[in-house]
Parts: sequence; C-alpha cells; structure tokens
Amino acid sequence: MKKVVLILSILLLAGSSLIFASGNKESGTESEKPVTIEVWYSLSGKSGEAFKQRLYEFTADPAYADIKVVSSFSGNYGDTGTKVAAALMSGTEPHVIIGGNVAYTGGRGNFYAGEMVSSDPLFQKDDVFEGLWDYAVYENKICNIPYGISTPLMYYNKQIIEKAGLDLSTPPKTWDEFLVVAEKAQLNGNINNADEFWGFVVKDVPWLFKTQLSQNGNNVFEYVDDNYTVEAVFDDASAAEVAQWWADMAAAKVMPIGEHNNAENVFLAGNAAFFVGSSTKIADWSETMGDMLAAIPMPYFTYPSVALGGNTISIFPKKDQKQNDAAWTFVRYITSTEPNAKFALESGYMPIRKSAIELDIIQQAFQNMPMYKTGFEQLAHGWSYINTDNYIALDGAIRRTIEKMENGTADAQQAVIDAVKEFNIEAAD
Amino acid sequence: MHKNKSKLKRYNIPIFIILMLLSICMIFPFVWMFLSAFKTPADVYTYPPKWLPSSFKFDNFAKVFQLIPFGKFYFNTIVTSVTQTFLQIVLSITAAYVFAKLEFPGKKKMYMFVQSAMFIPAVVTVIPLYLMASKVRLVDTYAGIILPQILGVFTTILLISFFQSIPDDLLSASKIDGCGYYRILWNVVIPNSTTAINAAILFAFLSHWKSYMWPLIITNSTHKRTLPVGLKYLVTESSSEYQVMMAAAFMSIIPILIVYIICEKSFTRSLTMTGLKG
Repeated sequence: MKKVVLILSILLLAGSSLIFASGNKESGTESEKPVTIEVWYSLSGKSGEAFKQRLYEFTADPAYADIKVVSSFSGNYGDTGTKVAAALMSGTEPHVIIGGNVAYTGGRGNFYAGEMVSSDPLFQKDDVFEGLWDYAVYENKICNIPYGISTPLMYYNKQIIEKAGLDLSTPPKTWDEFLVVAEKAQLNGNINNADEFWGFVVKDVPWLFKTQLSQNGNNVFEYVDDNYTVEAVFDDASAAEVAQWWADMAAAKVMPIGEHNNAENVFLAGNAAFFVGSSTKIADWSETMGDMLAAIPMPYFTYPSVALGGNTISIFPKKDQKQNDAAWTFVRYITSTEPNAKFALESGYMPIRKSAIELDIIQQAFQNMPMYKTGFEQLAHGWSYINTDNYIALDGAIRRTIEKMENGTADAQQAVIDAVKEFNIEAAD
Repeated sequence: MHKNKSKLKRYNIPIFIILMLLSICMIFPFVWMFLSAFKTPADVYTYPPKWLPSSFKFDNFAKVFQLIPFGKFYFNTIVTSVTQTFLQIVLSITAAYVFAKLEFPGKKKMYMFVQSAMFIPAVVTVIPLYLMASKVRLVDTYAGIILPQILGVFTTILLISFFQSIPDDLLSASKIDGCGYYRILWNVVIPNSTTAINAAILFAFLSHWKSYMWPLIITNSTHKRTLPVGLKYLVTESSSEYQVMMAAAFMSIIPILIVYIICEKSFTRSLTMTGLKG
C-alpha cells in the first residue's frame, strides 16, 4: 500500500509540475504581433488532414503573414455541438468553425457570414453552386458558407456488372429502370459465389429517401406562415410513390430486408452490385477497391436531384474588427477555387465552386476517377431541405416507414401519413 | 482420475457452461480487435470474415504514429489519469472516513445529498462545469482536464461501505492511545482497507483513462489532448481504415490491462466484501 502511495505521489508531483508549467496560451512571437484567430474543425481522418494542409498553405503564404491561425479539432458534429454550446454560453467561441451548423449562427441571430458573402465582391458568391446555399440558410437567410459538401452517389462494382453482361455506358435513368438493372446484376453477377448476393444495398436509408422525395417534388418540410413555422409535408402522393419503390425493391428481393447497417461491408466484399453512399467515400474506397469501383448518376423519379450532405463554415464576429477581417480573409481563402478544390480532392468532398472545373487538378481527377465527375455534376442538382433540429426524429420516422414497406406491413400512402404523424409527435416532445 | 471426477462434481456444470459462453462473448471483441490490428484493408473487408490476418506485420501500428501524435496523447492520458486518480482517492478516503466513522449535525442529509449526485448524468454537468472552468481560466490546460473530474461519488460510497465494517472498538482504542483523526485514518483505517482502496483506484483509473467528453470540451490544442479524443482523429466519415483504428485502440488499452491484472485479486475480493456487484 505504501509503495502504491509513493509511486502515485511521485507521479502526482510530475503531473503537478506539468500542470503549472502549462498555460493556456499558445507560444508565439510577441514582437510581430500578427492577428490571431481561433479555428475549430470537426473534420477527422483524410478530411482533417486535407483541411490541415490548406491551413499550412495559408500560413506559409506571405500574403497572409499578418494572420495567425490557431486550429483545434472539435470532435464529430455531435461533439462539436456540445463544445460550441458551452463556448457560446461562456463567450469563448472561436472565430471560425469548420463543420459548423446553422443553429450555431442563424439560430442565434448571427448572419455575419451571409452579409460578408453578399458584400465582398472578391468572394464571388455566384460562382458557388446555387443549391449549396440552401444548405447554409436559416429562415431563408444565409448564415453559413458551404464547405465540405457531399452528395449521395450510386456506386457499382465493375467486376460484377461485367460478369452480369451489363453495359452501363447508358445508365438507368429512372428508379424503375434501375430496379431492372439491379435484378439482372443480382442474377448473373455473383463473382464470389456467395450464399447471399444482392443487386443493391444502402446504409443511409433516410438520406436516399429524402433524395428521392426531392426528385418527386416533395420538399420534406415547408414554411407554413411568415413566422417560419415549419411543417412536415412528406405524406402526400409523391412521398407514397417513393415509399412504394422500396416495397417493390423488397418484393423483388434485390436488396436485403432490414439489414442496411452492414451494407458497406457487403458491397466492399463484392457481394452487392450497387451501393448508395456518400461521395466522400471516393478517396478511401478507390484505395480499397481499386479499379473495381465506379459510379453512375443517381437515378430519379420526376427530375434529377440529390440531397446535399456535409458541413458548412460558421463565423463568429468579435468586438475587434481586425480579428473579424482576419477571420473573413481566412474563410475567403479556404473557400476560394483552388484551395477548396484541393481540399475536396483530398477529402472526397465536392468542390463548392463551378469554376473548379477549369482547374487542371479537377480535370485530371475526372480522367482518373470518372465517378468524381459524376459526383461533381450532381452538384448542379443539389438540394437541401429546411434545417431542423429534429433530424433524428425525421430519420427515425423514415427508417420505420421503410421497414414497413420492406416487410409489406403497410400500404404506401398510409405509411407516409403515419410517418409524418410520428415525426410531429416526436418533434413536439 | 477419481480426484479429477470429484473436483468436476464440485462445479455446477450448466452454470459453468453458461459462464464460459458469456466469457467468450466478452473476450470476442478484444480478440477481434487484436487480430484486426494486423490486418490489411483487403483482410478487413473479406467476406466471409477472416479471423487471422494474412501476415503479422506492424505497419498499422507504425501508421498510427504517422497520422497522430500518439505518444503525446499517451503521455497526457497517463499524467491526467494518474493525477486524477490520486486526488480522487485522497478525497474519497477522507470523505468516506468522515461519513463512516464520525458524527456531526446534518450527516444523514449530507450523505443523501452526496448519494444523489450519482444519479445526475455527466452530460448535464458538462456545460456548467465548462462555464466555471472558463471563469478561472482553466480552458486548454492540464489542470482544466484534471480538477473538475476528481470528485468521485462512486468511489466515496464504495469506501464508506467498507469503512463501516471496521470495528468502532479499534478506532476507540487508537483514540485512547492518543491518536488524532488523521493518525487513525492513516494508521488504522487505511491499512485495514487496502483491498477496497485498490478497487476504488481501479474504478477511478478506468473512468479517467477512457474519459472523452470533458477532455474534448476543455482542451483546444492538439498537444493537450488525451487518448480517447486522439483516437477520434483517426475516424473518417467513410471509416475504411478499421485496421489502423484497431491498432490504436489496442495500444490504448494496454495500461488498463496491466492495472487490471495487478489489481484483479483485490478488486474481486473487495466487491465480495463490500457486497457490491459490478
């Protein structure tokens, strides 16, 4: 016992000395006194590395020598939410958050980013894909800036498609056509002779369902009055048509019923022909699957549309105008065409600017990875539903609807009506 | 042979089998983590799943150190966990002694108040704690990680129940011999409670080692971060580098395994003696 106490005491002394030796200030050159801004980012893995590389380039650029950026990883989106809530209450929020949420800004009446993008001609707001702004608005006003944007992508396994004798140079355009192709791929493309082999798998069911709703003219939510009261509207005939498609897929036994969580592994193991997932997988999966991985444009119901995913940039203005200018300069830099395109290529996110297409690196990427071009072209059809704090309730309601459709336990129209009712109850709670 | 048979008879075979199966369920994730740490990406995604990696190479372990400052995270975690454990145990022992052996007005009410703190979810206290820590400028410091987490109600209650089992006569005899409160605590109570204190140390160390939310919120600089936060740096949206994450996770649990192996006997003994069940 005494030995334990002795060892712990020594370690405590060592720890204490470290505590007192450490301050909460970053070391820096006092004489130059650059304007210091704090940036939190909720990007990890390859995305985090890609962002840090842009940060390094910004710091190394002599044009920005008067700005010092102190960056900090803030965990995933959920963790960042808690961290930001605490920081906002204590007034210790950073200048910029990469991976921010419109609730942090617009939800608190902060539309600084929107004012800056509109007032600074150097930002070139019109160069950003129009649909992306839907992702950065609160009550129809821009409060954030799109940054790491992803779209759902219809990936396929080339080897399976070749074995099945299918030609995807003219890909299926509608979901009905896709069902036929997926059935053929399942019938003739079992490259592993696996006991369970599927034509189509998807993990993020709600994301695809919302995409399909938008393709059928359904906006998921709508404002019903001038006070921006939001109402769920995915209970009409357009939503029922989407729900029915899931029932048809299940009835044709093209996809596993109720086993969506394992979809990625099934596809990566070569036991499914098609997979819908985030475009951010392009970079990682190209390494894992090599030439076997490819993608086709997302099939649609009435017209092409994809629900956007990813993250935005939040800016928090301070009393010191120099700091605000520095923060804006930094944000303008990382969202400008080339740095943003480089970030996109390294992380798997999509560039936010139309002008990115003129860059050699993007053209090169299109040649090397045609699926990247597919993702980029989908941005022209990017769409986002009205931001809601109740997206967990929304996704839950959608999952239960799909479950009913797959198991054949409900009529499509009744299922979507029930889904909206369930959502409203959960949202009210 | 006969001896073996009688030995076997002493076991309740069905219970033994159930416990064996449960043990396998408990151990399975660890074995999977260990083996996956050596796998290549192709091994990870092979279907049907492969138990053994195609070769036992240490590339994934090396990659962890390339991707994140793993050594620094490790160092920070050791410093903060050990310091927190030490301070928590000191506070828990003194508080437990007071509640178990001393009489003072309002003791019962205060005890109930302390107990009730166990039922408050940690997530509720995060923001108020942060506000206080930020007021006293503890944000992004080691002290900020350590100090708000050293009040361990569970370890205090664990020790109270154990200290209550020490005969009062023993303490009275020490008092007659001229011992003060601290001397009684140091020379009588603590030496008679080593098993319970070891268990409390283990509990406290485990909870501090794996603590994620508070260190994430209170720190901003990478060089102040601890292992659980650091491991999150490796998680990508597409999560395709499981093998690297497994290597990092395996390395991060080694100290816990060592502490557990050392404390295991006194840990189980104290749980039996204090009547607590894990």
